[in-house]
Amino acid sequence: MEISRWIFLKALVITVLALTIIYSINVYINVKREQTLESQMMDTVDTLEEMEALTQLMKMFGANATCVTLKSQLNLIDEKIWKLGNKIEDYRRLTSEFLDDPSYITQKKKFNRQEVMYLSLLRQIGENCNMDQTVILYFYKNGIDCKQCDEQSFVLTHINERIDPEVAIFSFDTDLDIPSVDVLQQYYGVDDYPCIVVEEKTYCGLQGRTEVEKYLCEESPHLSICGG
Amino acid sequence: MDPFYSFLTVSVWLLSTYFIVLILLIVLEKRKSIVEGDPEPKNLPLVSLIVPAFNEKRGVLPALRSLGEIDYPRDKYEVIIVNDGSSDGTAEIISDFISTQPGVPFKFIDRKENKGKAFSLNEGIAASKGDYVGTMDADSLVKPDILRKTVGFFEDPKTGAVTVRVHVHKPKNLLERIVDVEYVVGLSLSLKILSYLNSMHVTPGPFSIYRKSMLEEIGGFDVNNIVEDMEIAFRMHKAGYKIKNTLATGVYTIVPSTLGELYKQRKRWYSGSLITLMQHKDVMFNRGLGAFGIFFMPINYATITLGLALGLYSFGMLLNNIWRNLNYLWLTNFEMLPPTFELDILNLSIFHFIMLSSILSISIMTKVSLSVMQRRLRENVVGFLGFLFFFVIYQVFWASSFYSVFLGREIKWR
Repeated sequence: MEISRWIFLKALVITVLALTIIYSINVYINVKREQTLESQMMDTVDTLEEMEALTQLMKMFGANATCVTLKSQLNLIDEKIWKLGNKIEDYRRLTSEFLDDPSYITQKKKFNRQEVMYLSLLRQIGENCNMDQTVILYFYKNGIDCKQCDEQSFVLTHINERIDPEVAIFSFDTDLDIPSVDVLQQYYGVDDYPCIVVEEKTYCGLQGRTEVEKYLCEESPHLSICGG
Repeated sequence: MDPFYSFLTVSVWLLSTYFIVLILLIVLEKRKSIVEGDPEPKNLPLVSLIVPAFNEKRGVLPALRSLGEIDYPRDKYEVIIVNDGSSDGTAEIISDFISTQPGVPFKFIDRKENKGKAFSLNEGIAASKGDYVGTMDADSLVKPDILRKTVGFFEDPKTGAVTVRVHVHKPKNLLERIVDVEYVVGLSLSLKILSYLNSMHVTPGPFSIYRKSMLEEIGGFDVNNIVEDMEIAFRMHKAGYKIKNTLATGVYTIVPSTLGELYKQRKRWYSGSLITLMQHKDVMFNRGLGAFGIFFMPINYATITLGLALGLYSFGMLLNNIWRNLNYLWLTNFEMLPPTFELDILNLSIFHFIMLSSILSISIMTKVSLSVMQRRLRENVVGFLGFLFFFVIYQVFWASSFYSVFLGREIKWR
C-alpha cells in the first residue's frame, strides 16, 4: 500500500469527531427546546395566576369590576395554552426520533395540570361573567395503545384552526396518571379512547369533522360553522 | 423513537462519511503526485490493443481513428478488432476503414456469430503478440499518450493491470452532465484512491491495460460473467497482482442519454457486481488480500446494503405518511386550510443535521474531485447539483438489482 496506515486512524478520528459535533448540536438544541418550553410554561403559569387573582377579586368586588379584564386574559391564555400544547408535542416528537427524553413527560404533566386549572377558571368565569365559551375536552392515549388518537388530534386541530377562538379545546394525556385528569375522566365517563366531551356530553371512539361539528352545533348553534 | 431507523441512519452516515474523509485525507497526502507522479517507462514494450465490437457502426470509426493516432512507435503496438457477430454493418465499416490505413498495425477478426464481449476479448488475447494487452470499448476514444503514460507501471512485476481516467464524451443533456460528474468522482478520483489502497475492484471496460502473462495465468476473462471487467479484478487480487491507475491520461466514453438506458446499464453493473461477489465471496474479510479483503470490500458492500435498507425503509415511511395524511384529509372532508409555517430553528432534529452533513461531505468530495481533474465548478454546476441528489435514483437501480439477483432473474449484457 502506498499510503500511511495512520491515515485510516485519522479518518476514523475525524469521522467520530464529526458525529460527536452533530450529537452535541442535537443535545444543545434539545436543551434550548426544554428552556423554551420552560419559559412558555412559566409565562402561562403567570397568566393563570393572574386570572386566579382576578377570580378572587371577583368574589370580593363583584363581577362588574373584573369581568372585562378576565375576558381579555381568557383570550390570551387560550392562545398560549394551544401553542404550548403543540410545541410540547412537536419538540417531543423531534427529540424522540433519536432519544427518549423523560423531561417531556414532566413538561406534559405540568401542561395537563395547567389545562385543568384553566378549565376550572373558565367554568367559574363563565358562570360569574355570563360568558358562553364552547368547550371540547379531548382524552387520549399514546399512539401504540390508541391507533386512532392521532387522527382525532388532527380533526380537532383542524376544527380549532377553523373557528378559534370560538371554541376552547383541552387535550388530556391519560397515560400520565394525573389525579385531576383521572377525576375528569371518571366524571365524564370516559371508557374508551379517543374520547371527546362537547359541552358536557361524552362521545368515545373516533369522531370525524362532520360528527364533531354536528355535536358543536347541537350545543352551540351560534358558532360560525353552524351556518345560521 | 425507532431504533432500527436510527441504527440504519447512523451506520450509513458513519460508513459513508468515514470513506469520504479517508479519500480527502489521501488526496491531501498525495496532492503533489496524484496526477503527474506516475512512473516513466524505461523502454517501450510491444502492446496489443483489443477492440471487441458488436453492432457499433456509429461509434467504431472515431474509436479506430483515435487508436490510429496513438503517440507510440508503430512497430510497438497492434490493434486487434474483433467483430462479435454484428448485424448492423459494423464489419464492413471496419474493413473499409482498415483498407484506408496502410501504415497502422490493424488486425481484424471477423466472427459472424455473437459470443459476447469476454469471449471476444479472449479471442483477441489469443491472437495478440504484445507483452501487454489493452482492452477498449468500440465506442470509446483514447488520448494519444495512453500507452506512454501506462506502460511504465509494469516495471513493477506485481502490477497486473493499469486503468486510466474515464471521461464522458461530450456530455450534452442533464443526465449526461450528472453522469459526467459521477465519473469524475467515481471512475476517476475514487479509483485512483483505491489504487493507493491496492483495492481497485474493477478494470473499467472503456480502456484498461493488462500484463499478458498474468491474463494467461488467471485464464483470461470469464465468458459467463456480465461484468467481466470487475470479475477479472477479483481474480487478479487473488493471484496477488496489483491494479494501478493513472489520471495523467484517459479514455472518452459514451454514456447513456436517457434514464431508461442508464437503468439498463446500471442494472447490469450492479447485478453483475452482486453476482461476482457471490462468485468470489471468499474475498470478504480475507486478510491475505490486504486492504481489498479486510477493508474496502466489507465497507463498500456494507454501505450499499445498509444504504439500500435505509432507502427502502424511508420510502416505506414516506408511503405511510402519505397514507396517514390522506386518511386525515378524509376525516376532515378533504378541506384544506392554509398551511401555517413557523420558522423555528429548534424544529431541526438530529436527522436534519445528519442529512445536511452528508450533503456537505459529498459536496466537498465532488468539488475536490473536480479540482483534482482540473475542472471548474462553475462550468459543471448542473451536473454537480444533480449528482448530489442522484443517489435516490441509484438506490432504485440497486433495489432492482438486488431483486433480480436474489430472485434469480436473468440479467442480460445488453
